[in-house]
Amino acid sequence: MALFIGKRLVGMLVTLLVASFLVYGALYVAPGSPLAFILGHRGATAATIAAVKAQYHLNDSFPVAYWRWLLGVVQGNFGQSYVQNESVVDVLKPRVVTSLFVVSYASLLIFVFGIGSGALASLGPKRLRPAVLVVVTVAMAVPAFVWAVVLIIVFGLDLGWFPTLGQGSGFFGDLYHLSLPAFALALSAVAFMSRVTAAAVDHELKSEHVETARARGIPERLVVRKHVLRNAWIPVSTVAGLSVASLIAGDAIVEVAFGLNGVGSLLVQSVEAKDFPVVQMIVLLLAGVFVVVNMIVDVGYALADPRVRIGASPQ
Amino acid sequence: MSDPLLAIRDLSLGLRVDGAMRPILENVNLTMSRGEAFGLVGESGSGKSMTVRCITRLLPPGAAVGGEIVLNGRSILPMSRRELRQVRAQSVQMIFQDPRAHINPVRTVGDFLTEALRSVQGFNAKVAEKRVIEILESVWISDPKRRLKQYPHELSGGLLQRVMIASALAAEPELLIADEATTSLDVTTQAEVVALLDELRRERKLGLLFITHDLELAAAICDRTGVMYAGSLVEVQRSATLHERPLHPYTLALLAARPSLAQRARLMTVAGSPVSLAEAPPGCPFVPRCAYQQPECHAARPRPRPFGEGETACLRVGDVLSTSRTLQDEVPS
Amino acid sequence: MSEYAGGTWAPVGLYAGTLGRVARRLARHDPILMIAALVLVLVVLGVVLAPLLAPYHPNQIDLTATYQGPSTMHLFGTDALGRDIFSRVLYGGRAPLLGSALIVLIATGSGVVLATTAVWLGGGIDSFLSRAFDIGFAFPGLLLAILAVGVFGTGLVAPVCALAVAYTPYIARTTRSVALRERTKPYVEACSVQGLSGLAICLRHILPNVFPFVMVQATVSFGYAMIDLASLSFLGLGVQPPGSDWGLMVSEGQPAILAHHPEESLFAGLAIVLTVIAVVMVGERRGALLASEAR
Repeated sequence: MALFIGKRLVGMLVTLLVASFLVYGALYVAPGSPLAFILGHRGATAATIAAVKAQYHLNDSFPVAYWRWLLGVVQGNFGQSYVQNESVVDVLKPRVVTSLFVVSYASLLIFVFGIGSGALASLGPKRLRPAVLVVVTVAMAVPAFVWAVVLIIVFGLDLGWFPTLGQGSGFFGDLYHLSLPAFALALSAVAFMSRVTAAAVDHELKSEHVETARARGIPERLVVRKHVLRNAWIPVSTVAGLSVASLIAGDAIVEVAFGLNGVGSLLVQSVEAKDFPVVQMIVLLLAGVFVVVNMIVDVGYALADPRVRIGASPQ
Repeated sequence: MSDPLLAIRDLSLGLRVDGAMRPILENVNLTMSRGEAFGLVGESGSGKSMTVRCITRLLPPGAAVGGEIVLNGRSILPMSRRELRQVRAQSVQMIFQDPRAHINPVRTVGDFLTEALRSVQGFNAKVAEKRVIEILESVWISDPKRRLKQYPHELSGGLLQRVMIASALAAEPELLIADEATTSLDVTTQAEVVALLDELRRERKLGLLFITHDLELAAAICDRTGVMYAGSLVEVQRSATLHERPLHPYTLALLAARPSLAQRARLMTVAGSPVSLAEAPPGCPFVPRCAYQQPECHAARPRPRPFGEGETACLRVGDVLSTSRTLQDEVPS
Repeated sequence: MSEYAGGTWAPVGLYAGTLGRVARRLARHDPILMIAALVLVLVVLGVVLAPLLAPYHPNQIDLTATYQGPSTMHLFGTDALGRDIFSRVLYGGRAPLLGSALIVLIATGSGVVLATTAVWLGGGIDSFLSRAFDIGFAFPGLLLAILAVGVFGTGLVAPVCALAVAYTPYIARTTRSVALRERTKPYVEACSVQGLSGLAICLRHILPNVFPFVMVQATVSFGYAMIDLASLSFLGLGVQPPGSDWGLMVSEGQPAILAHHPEESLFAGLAIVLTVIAVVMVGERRGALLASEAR
């Protein structure tokens, strides 16, 4: 088990290194010199130019520069935004909470409604299945920004149940204002999880070990809980974890659609404003979170399935 | 037979496949007494597995069962689900072919063994564990306490099958059904498991219904053997007599097809391939492959009738007997 | 055969006849696949024939007719600048369809080549490429595309390249597992013993078996590529105004929604959803057919 985690950790670090390499190397691939690219068409004082060169180690050769920059990042030196005249960290800080809230809210929806509806569909009456399948397949194919628009039309315009723009204050204010964005982000993933869960539970219901349990007279509800659901949880939780990871990129879309001040909308604004230092760090940060979540999913899978946790060694 | 353990009368079965009803079994009649070992032999499609599944009603949804099954004086087919669960938990236990598929891989062996005891019979965990350890010892598994904490994938196939047997014994059943229990094991392990089943059966006076496609294996362990073809029983006899004097062309062909160490003659094969009930022609189902067929065999499907100490469904049993006598004379004993 | 009876129209008739037979067989086996394929064909035709079908030029501004609802003059209504939404929807499909097609083409091409090479050469090269793909999986495609736009600017080029790179590992993974299955089959060794070169074996035997599975995945990936590209345009990072693009139109139409003029966003969004559903359905049903044929 320790070996398993060790290997995964190493893989994670390698991926992060590659991501950081990509993000740093992009400077050199971009049109114009790295210096010009970062400063854009904005006029710059000699002091600023010196600061940029120091931050990105532009006077050093590429490998050295990359390494030094990376060390700086690891120590928390995220650089400076020359568009907003603040350090990148300061620009990011107020926005992290909003993004975290939306993504967590959406994740909760995926786990509760996605997995729940799938399990119910599989264990419940068969007659509804074809209709449910159609609805789910359609919902899966609708991109988050279209969901956002639909939700705005239905709930903001027609029904007026939820606010469609801006953020409230305090926890419940947040909950209220961030509900539509969370729904828009989660809906296609909820539909996907529903299908995956129903398929996994179907599969377990037909398996031989469930047949054995029934053959020994174990009451059905116990069979479902201990054998069907418990076994189906393994692939389902893995896919759910990966779905949550994919929310990280989709978050930017709902933030823009609903006018939220989160990390995602900052990313888009910075790209448009050509504020590359901010773009760089946000991409690296989001990639890092994605990688970490993937690793947690992997470890979770190993913990849940004893065949992975304990090596196979028939005696 | 006074108070048989199991009596199957005129059992017929149809399964729902792709919306249509497919006949699987037709008029199967079988009786077993307490402590008897009965071998049910047949090839794939013969319906032997399905027959025993009817006893515990372990059938797919939409199955249509006709006839009567009486176990220990109680009629199985009309039972409520609750009564059926009682029967499944205590009177009859099944052992399946592939233990690895039939035991939940993410739960411990101990959990598997004690589950029925705890949830159906209401034993508390400690008592259940003690009982299970005793049984593990009786199926020749060493260091049982350690095994309880292990997971199925850590045990070899033979060991796992013995765990399956142990779990069946824990319920103290009167009837043990082994559905191709040794087919997926290698030969040495197979011999071990068969020996184990035999000893347990004698010790505990268990009824053993042993399903296999291997005639000789059935003969080794079972008092009587029944041969199934295309959804019905075609012959039932004491095992020893069946091998010396088969009463049905199918049995004869199965016996003749075995390679013999004593004779280096050409291997005999049975022309054609086994059919299921749904594919069988009217009349005797073996007719297309039978060397003894006469016009009367095409009329209706013959039902097994008593013949000597056994039963046979063959209308030309006299011809079959004369052939097997000749074969017997050829084989040096 | 150098002469057809019936002249030049005979082969067309023959082809149409075959299509008809295939269609009827499909319709009997899987009506949903038929409908999805039909929808797809209609969408593609509509978009490709936009210059012929669009009643107005997509950029034709008419400030006297802004925010009009659907009417006989304007099938889907007009937008903030009085442009005909129906025409813009027709033209707006070109970027998503073309872009997604390019993405899938490049990803499939490189994915299949890389994976087949890895499987054939095996050993160190296989592990190295597998690790590379693992890293590829770890980087979400949309993020890579945003980075690419940040570096190279808006438009279609950067997103298409970035997404093509991001999708390659997925195709490669499928190709690898199918190719691996084929590689271990005895006939491959037999060919090898007969003196066939690795390249020939791969091309003539392994690839044809890999092809159907990859096609299915490519089809479904096309749908997801459309979603990613449209999302980028929605964010303002893809096709720029005044161009027509479904994702861009959803974004441009957003301010008008709360003023009770949802037409632009709605119809553009509908176009996206319809196309994606049709593509994914075709891919999944073909996949199901394949799986049942393989059994």
